[in-house]
Amino acid sequence: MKPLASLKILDLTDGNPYPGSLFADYGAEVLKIEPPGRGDSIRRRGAAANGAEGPYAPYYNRGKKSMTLDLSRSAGQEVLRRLVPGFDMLVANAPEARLAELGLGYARLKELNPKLVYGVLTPFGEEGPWKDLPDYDLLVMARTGLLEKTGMPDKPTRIGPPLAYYYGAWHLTAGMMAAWLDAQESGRGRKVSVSSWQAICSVDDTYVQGLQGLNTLPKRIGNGFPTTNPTDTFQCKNGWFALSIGSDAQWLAFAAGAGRTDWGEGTVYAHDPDRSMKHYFGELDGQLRDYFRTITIEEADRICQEAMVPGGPCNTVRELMDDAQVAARRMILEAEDPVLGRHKQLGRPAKFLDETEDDAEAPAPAPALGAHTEQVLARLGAGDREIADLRRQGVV
Amino acid sequence: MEKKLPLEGLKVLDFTIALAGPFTAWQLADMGAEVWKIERYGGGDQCRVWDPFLNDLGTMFVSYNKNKKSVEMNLAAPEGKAVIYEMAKQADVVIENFKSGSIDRLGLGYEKLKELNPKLVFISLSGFGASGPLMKLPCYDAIAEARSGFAASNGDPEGPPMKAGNCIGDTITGLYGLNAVLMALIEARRTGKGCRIDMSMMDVGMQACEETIMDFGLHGQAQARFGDHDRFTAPYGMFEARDGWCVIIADTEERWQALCGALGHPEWKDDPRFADNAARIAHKDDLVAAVTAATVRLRRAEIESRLLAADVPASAVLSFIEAYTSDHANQTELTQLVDQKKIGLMRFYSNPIRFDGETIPIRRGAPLLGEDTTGVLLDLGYSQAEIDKLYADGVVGASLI
Repeated sequence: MKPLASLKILDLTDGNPYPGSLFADYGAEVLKIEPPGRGDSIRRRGAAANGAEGPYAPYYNRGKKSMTLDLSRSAGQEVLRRLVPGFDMLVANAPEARLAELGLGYARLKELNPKLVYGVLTPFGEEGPWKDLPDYDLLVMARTGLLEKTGMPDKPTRIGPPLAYYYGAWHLTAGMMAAWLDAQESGRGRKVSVSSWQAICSVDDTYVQGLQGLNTLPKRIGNGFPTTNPTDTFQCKNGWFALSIGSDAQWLAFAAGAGRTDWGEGTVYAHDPDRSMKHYFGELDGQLRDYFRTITIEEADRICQEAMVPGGPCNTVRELMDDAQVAARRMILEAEDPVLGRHKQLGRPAKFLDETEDDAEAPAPAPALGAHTEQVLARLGAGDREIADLRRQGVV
Repeated sequence: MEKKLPLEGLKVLDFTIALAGPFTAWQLADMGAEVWKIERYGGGDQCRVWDPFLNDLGTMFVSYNKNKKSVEMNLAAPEGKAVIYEMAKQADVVIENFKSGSIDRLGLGYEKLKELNPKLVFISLSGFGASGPLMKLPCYDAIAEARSGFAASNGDPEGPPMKAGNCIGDTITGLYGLNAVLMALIEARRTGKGCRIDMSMMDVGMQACEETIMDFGLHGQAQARFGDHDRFTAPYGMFEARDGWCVIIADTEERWQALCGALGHPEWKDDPRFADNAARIAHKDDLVAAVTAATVRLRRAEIESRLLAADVPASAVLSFIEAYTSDHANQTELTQLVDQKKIGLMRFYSNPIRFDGETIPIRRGAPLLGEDTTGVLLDLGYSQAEIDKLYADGVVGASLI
């Protein structure tokens, strides 16, 4: 099922492909508007210094269309305004004020298309003392408190994937789809805006609660958990294994599966709160570390699965490639690209179960820079001569 | 004319507990949907009694259940199911995260409810989804982060995989589930037909491997994690300061040159190990050691202000309380004060989505158990006498805990 097949989206983002990718992965027509010559900076992610495209553009831009348009020139701005009536949504990762300087503010564009949904993604919002700080995921994360609380006690650990961009983008796409649904009834679109910083702050699930309920500040405790234990990541003979015990029943089942009567019923470890709060830190945690060192992750996994206890190996991409669960869920897909050839890409996590299950389908290829420029201009009714003029002036 | 919230009129039947599912329902409620949170008779959502507490109410529960209505109901009773069937006829969305298949055994599964309302969008959220060898296994946040490769994407390459400092596996799934629901509503509007959505925490967590999956496919191997410094650009990462940590990003030659000046080390410009980005990546350990030797003598605020003044992106790594009480937080409505039943005035995070520049108001705090049972039944068309009988028979309740 391609639930968004009826949506058309103008995508002005640069360096942040996530909102456009969510729409494109589920069938929307996403037209990227890119600067002539250099294109979206995401094309160069991981590229060699000589300027060729990087290896990830076929993934980041899959299923999208590309048009080059110089929005710093009035002729380019005019072309964009002519496109607006034919689209449902516009999305940009720039504050509206910057777009308004180009004659592309929401007030102007909604006159051309009252139902337009106008999406704005910024690192820190469009007001406040941090609004002009540079736009990098790592810099946003640095100011949320989450980076500082991730990692072992001795130092924070950077989260590898761009988490603030994911949360910001996916809040924005949700708000835009809600606004689109309403616009079909009311006839009026909306401006929808999200700060990635605020998105990360607001998913906080323990820090404020601890402050309110216990008058304490959060600590950085690695893979551990302050209250329900054992919850940690342990080193086995051949890799890392996560265990997350949530109840006495789970703990006793695990102890039985591990053949450890010294952890079972009748011992000080059998029940909470004593296990988690009195006898875990500095005592049971050490015993568990010693225990896991004597077994393999496969043994640990078997014990947890048989005992129906939440546990699992810390898979890396190497294990995921051959993982039966990943295969059953079709979360790694084969894709084609003119330069890379056949290669692997992440699948689509939303599984719409209906008679046309198609989530194993290969992603549509990513467009070369400007691949759809002429087609889009022709759709606007521009003649060959006008297209040639725009091209000669460097507008497209 | 006052503009409504965009999802006003949408009705959501919500069976979820704990975190991921309630997150999806909470977001729908914030955007104006009427969410009927169906809670277990006598006890309600288990996370009502999770630490920490204020006046016996779990603070995590109140955070994730604002703007919802609570209906306390015995789903084992046939009369309880009958009420659910009435709700399903009027609802647009059903959200559930029961153990695999339990909702079907209760007689409330998608196949049954879509007979009553073919436009229903029905989403199931679970650890591993409704297919595959792991489908029936229990899963918490830490396990989803582990199995999906999310944890292995963070941390030093030689050290342990690292989960995020909060329950990212839950909330990212709830957020993706929200998007899936809205997509299905868009499609249902066009076709008149709803659908079932199967969301798993492991599938969504694999987003963390979006680049390494390509690395592996192209090269037959891939490094899972890259520590505190970027793999392609240097310097770009986290550096120790005198009073904590800071982030520094010098991603152009101009910025590198400016950094050398701002940190008082013009000689770095002539060091062949640091001649260009390729050289700096090749000598990343030397570079990080050299920059750290300079930053560790300075306070975070000093590093940030010197580098920003030189147009080099930089930031202090702020603690939670520094971020939460910052001027930026207080000047941009990061939080709102809300009167929470049983607790009193509390500060809650605002929703990060703004419509036409306005922060979404939090209309009410989290409901007490069964607080809305009578009101929702009246709205559904039940008479007061019928409602009284449902209470008397132990089918519905209003424990108000």
